[in-house]
Amino acid sequence: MKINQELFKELCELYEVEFSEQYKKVMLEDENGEMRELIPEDIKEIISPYIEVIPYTVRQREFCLEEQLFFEASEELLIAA
Amino acid sequence: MEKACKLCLNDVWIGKNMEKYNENQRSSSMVRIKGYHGTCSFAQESIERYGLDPKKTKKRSDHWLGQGVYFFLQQDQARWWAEDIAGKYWNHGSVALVYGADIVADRKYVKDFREYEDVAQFQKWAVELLNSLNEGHEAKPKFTTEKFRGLLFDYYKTEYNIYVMIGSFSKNRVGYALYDPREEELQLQKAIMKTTGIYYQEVQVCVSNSACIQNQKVEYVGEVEVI
Repeated sequence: MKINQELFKELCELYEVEFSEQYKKVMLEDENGEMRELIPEDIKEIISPYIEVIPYTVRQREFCLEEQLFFEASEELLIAA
Repeated sequence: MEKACKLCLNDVWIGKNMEKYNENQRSSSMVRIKGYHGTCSFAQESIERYGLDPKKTKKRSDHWLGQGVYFFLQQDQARWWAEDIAGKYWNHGSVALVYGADIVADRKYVKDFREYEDVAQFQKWAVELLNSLNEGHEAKPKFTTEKFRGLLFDYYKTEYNIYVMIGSFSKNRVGYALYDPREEELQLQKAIMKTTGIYYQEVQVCVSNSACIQNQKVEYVGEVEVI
């Protein structure tokens, strides 16, 4: 497969992906912070991930820790998960 | 458009016939989904001015399905999400807001990971991409799962003109379910879910082309919390 290098580079910049000549394969940082080779089985998890939701309580209202996209309100306001 | 069999599945219907699922018919079918976008009132001015525009969304590295505007298929899910956002301390003074919209696209611009053909197609492509990235002697990228996920989906969407991406995510707990176990029951619930393999399946729709988002209107406005 021929990679669209321009698109790939643009997306790597957007996602702040680091590169290293130390590795010979594409690497994945696992949940323990360790680097390992990214393998095809990892792609299955990406398509249908399992999400562990951890509840916490703030001001007597219960929220769940989760990361999702927010629609940008304005440049002045910071809305984040 | 000829009248076709109407298939109702989570508010998705195929506009034309659906006798046999093949590439030709996929390309000639329209997909229409009713989606609900949960946000808070601080975003209302921008949304009313620009519409629910993927270009106006905040770029983040931890999207589920890449960059775009996200929708739920059920209004109560979007309400739950909107209430959560409005409840954040940095959104103090805002109220929950839910927009409903029609998400409309030709089937060939849609990738639905609830359908096995789409999963298989994407999986095959992703493995080929990975193999290609592993070739050569240049520096290799280091990903986190989140970054790889976002990049993979965004690359695919851009390369193949995918404007609507639908995915379902397994969760151990959801805030909008009628049953929410007590703290001491959570571990038991997790064990039961793991044993049975039955989890909450949350479907999300990511739209990356504003032309696919039509007829948006406010469907729910929350109340200001008085302490």
